[in-house]
Amino acid sequence: MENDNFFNHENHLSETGIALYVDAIKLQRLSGLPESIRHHVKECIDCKMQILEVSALLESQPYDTTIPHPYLDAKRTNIFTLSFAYRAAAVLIIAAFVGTLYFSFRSTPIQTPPIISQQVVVESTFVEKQPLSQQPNQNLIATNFDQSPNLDDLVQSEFRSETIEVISPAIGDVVAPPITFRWKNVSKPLTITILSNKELVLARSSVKGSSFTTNRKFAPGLYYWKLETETELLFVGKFLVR
Amino acid sequence: MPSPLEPLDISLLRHDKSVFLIRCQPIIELTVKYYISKKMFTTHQYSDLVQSVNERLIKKLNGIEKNFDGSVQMVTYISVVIRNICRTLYEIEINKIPLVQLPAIDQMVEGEIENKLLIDDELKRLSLILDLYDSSRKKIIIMMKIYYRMPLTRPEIRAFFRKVNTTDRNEIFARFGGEYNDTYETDNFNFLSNALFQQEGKRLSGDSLRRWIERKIHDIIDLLNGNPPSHSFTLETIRILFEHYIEQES
Repeated sequence: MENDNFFNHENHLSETGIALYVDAIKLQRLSGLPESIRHHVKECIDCKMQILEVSALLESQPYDTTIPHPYLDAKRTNIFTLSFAYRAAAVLIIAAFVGTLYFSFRSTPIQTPPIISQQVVVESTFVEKQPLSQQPNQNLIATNFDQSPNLDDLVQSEFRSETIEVISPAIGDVVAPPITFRWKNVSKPLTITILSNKELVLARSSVKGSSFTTNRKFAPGLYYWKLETETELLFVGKFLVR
Repeated sequence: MPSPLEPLDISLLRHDKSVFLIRCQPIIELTVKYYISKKMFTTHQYSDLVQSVNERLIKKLNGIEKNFDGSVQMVTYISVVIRNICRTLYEIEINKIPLVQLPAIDQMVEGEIENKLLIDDELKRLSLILDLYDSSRKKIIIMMKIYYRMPLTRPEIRAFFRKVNTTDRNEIFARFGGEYNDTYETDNFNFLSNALFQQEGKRLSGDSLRRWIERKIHDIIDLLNGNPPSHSFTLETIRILFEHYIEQES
């Protein structure tokens, strides 16, 4: 059973959520936790810190494993508890859905690259790495706005050492050329990189000041941009072009 | 082994708050002692702290009664509440109490760090921290091994790179299965990024991959060190702990 009480209004684990995770640790039942909690903790250092502290507090306290746990041992409705008729109907619906997906998206096999590495060579001046135009096919336009799970994860991250403050564009802004990227509180030379939502490097340039402007026309879609020094990543942002 | 805490449950909270509060005392004392051991408070503050925690807990009892939904053990839930109260008190006191620095682990000579009790405790914590990464755990371990130039084993390559064909898995083992201290980090991570593309279908540059694992290692260091820090693990000293961990697991 999914429980709204596991998360607070800041979308972090509530006291109940932390307690459940600690219970699962004490009872060695991490696999019994809801996927939402496991996924959040996987990504959230603050909640990890809380869990570790409470676990440490209760480390020496034995837990009675003979008593059923109110959540981890609760019987939850799932496919296996439904009556046969419902299960059969569920199987048919799932099979029909999978069949529809298969015939809709059947395509040539994806060619995987050989394991031998092919290093991406990056110029230090502003050069175009990939065609900027996205696929014109109407069916694929929607995918140009899909988020990149890796880069989006970096957008949410806080980076260390430098206290860079990005002025524009704000995360998720809709922009049109000329696009000006502005920041402050960094005096070192930086590299700005613009990537497609498929993580392809579209452009890269060294920058000495605190802004960079491009007149390039981007096809409609979601794009990411990064600011880096020689040794570390300072910022990842994203913007939209409509 | 300490005796188990007295049972706490919602019906006790509803019908007899005084007894409920009395049964919370061991948890309060345990928690306050824990934070004193972490140098967040001094031993002289013990009694005052216990009293302050009690005062704040009393005010929260009605809220606990309302919010507690019975999905977790009450003793764990109350421990979280008491922990949060202590944290709040720490925030209030933070400017008044000078923090006493523990000897930094990276200042200890390697002989001292071999102290078995210390290592065992830290290994348990590292193991728990890695568990908190859930489905990313295997990937983090493999990439930490590569980051620290530790050899990968065939079983772990097979277990993690399940979608990679046998020939390519053999290449991974050929590259990372033995000594590879004289290889370039960039080459290693570029090689790995191609393997991960086959495994996960996500294209990341070798550089992004290296930064990703560095960030994860820094997070692990922060978690091991605690907040406020009571240890001083660094990129280098955590390597020593990680080596012990791998040795223990194999």
